[in-house]
Amino acid sequence: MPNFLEFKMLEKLLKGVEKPGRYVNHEAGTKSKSLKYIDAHPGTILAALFFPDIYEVGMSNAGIEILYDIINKSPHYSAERVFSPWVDFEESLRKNKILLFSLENRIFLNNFDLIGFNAAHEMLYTNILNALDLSGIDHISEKRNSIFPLVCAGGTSVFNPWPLSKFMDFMVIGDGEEVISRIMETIKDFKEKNTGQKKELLKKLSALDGVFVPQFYKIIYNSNSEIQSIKSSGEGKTVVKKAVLKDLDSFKIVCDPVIPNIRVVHDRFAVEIMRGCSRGCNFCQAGFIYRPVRQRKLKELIGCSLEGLKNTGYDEISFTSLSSSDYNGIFDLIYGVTTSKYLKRLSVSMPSMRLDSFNVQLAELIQSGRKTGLTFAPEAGSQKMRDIIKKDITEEELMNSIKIAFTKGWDKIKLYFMIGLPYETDEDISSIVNLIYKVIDLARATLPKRSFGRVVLSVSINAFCPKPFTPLQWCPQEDISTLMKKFYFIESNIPKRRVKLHWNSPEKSKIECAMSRGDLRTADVVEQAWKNGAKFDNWTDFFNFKTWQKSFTQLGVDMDLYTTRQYPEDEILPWDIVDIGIKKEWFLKEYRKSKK
Amino acid sequence: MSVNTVRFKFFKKDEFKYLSHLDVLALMERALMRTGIQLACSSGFHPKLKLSFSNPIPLGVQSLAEYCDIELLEEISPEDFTVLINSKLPDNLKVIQALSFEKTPENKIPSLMSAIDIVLYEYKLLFKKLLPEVLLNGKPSEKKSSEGKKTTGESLSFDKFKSPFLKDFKELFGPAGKNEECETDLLNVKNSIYNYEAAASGLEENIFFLKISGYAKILKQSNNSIFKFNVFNKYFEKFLKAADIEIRQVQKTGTYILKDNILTDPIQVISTKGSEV
Repeated sequence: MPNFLEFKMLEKLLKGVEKPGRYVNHEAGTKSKSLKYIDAHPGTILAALFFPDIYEVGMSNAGIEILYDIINKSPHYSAERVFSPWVDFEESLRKNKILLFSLENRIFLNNFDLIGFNAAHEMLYTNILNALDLSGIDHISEKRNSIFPLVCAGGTSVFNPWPLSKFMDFMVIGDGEEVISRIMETIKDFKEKNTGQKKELLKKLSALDGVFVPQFYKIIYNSNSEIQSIKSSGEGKTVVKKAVLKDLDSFKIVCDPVIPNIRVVHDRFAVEIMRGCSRGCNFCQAGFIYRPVRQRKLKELIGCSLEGLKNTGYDEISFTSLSSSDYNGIFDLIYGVTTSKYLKRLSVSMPSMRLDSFNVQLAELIQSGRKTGLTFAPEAGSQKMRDIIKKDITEEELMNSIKIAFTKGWDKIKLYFMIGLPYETDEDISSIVNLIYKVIDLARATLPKRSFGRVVLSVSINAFCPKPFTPLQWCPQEDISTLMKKFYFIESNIPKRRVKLHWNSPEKSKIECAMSRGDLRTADVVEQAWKNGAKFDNWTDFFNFKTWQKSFTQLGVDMDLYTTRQYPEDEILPWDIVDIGIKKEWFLKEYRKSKK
Repeated sequence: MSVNTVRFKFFKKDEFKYLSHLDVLALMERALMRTGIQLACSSGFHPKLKLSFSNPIPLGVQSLAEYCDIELLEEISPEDFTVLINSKLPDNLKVIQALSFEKTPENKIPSLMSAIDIVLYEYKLLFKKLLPEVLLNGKPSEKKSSEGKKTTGESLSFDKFKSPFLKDFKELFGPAGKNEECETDLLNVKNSIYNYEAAASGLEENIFFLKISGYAKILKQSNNSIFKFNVFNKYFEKFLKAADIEIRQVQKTGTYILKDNILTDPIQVISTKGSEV
């Protein structure tokens, strides 16, 4: 029987804690085995699925939901969810010397066989270390003496596994659906035989598709701190192939998901209609690492959507993918779901829609009646820049779609831009300003006078962050002061009354860049930053650039090596060890094209 | 046109007391949607279920007496309704009673939020030093030799006893005198209390109950303040600490409408009203 925290004790810990609903579980749709079951079946393998941010954020993540469903379907395994405690609850835990526990049965994390973190993005790294520390588990893999719990990570930001490598026993790169069952089986076999070293278990795991075992690899540096080679100790594969689920339909959509008891970021039934994106925008990591494009079958999608809505009682459905409007048969899907008799008050949302003129009509279909707003992402102001980043939309097309949107009655328009792109000149920045003016002129010409009076464009500016596995992976990130200058130029040249400007901190973007292109030394920096107090780095109130700067300096690691540096084409990249199915030569070819 | 409305009473215990009013509202909405019962919606671009709750209670306090009205588009017996909704609700949040009524121009039923007059909270208290009888009565009660159990099970009206505890309690929380000067917060607490009662447990030693009822709204005739649990509780905890008494549990046990000056259950109100028409 695993050790767990009594409810009475939880109540004591919750005194004065904000939003206690985060920690109490008992949501509809919970699938973990009961303590009674675990007690009666001593061989049950326990897995903790950990999203290293608060409940409200983590519960909106589809990955945890899928793995939770798969693991709990087996009578031999039980999966429980864990989220990062918010700072007030962490304080309460530390003050009372209580270790971190899972949500469902409040089992202490060090009683699990497997802890799997979802590293959805780089800014969660410090939270992962903090989570291990709160669980009474050494955050460094090598220092953990007992075999269990095994600690692993998956998700978007382990495609370059190095920055977390020091802390993980293994990592899973790619789609988790098939490999999770193999991992659980391997652990079960090992535990049943009850002999052998951790290394043997890891060796077995490393044979699985997508599994990377850091301790089997070594990075050898040149004296000039460039990588000379990445060596496998013999136990590991020479390259780690990402796991690919060939047929999405072989795993049915989770139609009975856990329904949060408290309000979460996305309170709706989410249906993944497609994985991968065929667009090939040069800067977009997700567009490359989740290839090939795989669509779910229309008929099954309609069936699952209706079933899920009925099971959950949600009045909103979200069709998710990297570019949902590119799904073949998207009209039929929306029509098939919205015309169902059972659902009278359903709203549909489609994040990341590509808004060309055709899709504005699609938007009209899903937002009929209440027009909440439309987001357009031209990404750059000039055609030259859009060609370089391969965002294949012309200004004419863009203006045409925005015109349709205005004509159809939308007056809340959001525009997304990136600055600091490779080969960007002052002229390209001016053209962002020009484009904003053109949209305002268009609004003046198209909208009735009264509506135009209250039009405020929402404009969001982000710093470009070169990412692994993109054709722009060799590009330098622009330095913070130039980014600031460019931003202030835009800010001072747009009509303030008409534009609401959002600006994502270039400092955060710099850390994100350093982490995403990081290596073993970056892992040390993550550890140092966490020791210096960094956590919840994705939260604007918590992110502290100085903490990170200090951590780099303390270890003598140059942040600019990973950010503002132009990478030579022949340099060995840390993530060369991972094979995502697209050759480095292809990226190089595309990179050279963009230079022209 | 008449509208079929079901008024139901539910409890929220243990884990579910940590959910806010809005969270419970959303949870109830989704559970109702899952039952498949035909529910009435508001018109407009963003239709909402026609659902209204009794007054919100503070986070972390469990309640045995929450009420909700829901408008339906179909006729369903209160018994069927209860079975259906309970099949979609978690164990610690269940419907315990329901009654349907028709809203017609002749039979106007005010909304729960505007109708509720009084809320009742019950504290389970543990005396660390003295037996409850001593505190309540000023002397220990006689033991029944045959059963060995204490006999002070019945409720003790406040004014009858000159016990130190109740005397102090009355001094602090009893109605404010005309020219009494004290903190505004405390004055509001004093003027928000409708009644209180204390009773020894009778089963557990050193345990006794304090029932405290407060005004949920301002009544013209009583010139009262609204009972704010958290403010009362702050003062009460301080008071208990000084007397070395520990709170074992606190829960809301009643929600009432004053009808001819009698505390009446909101479901009873509609049942008598229904029979009158």
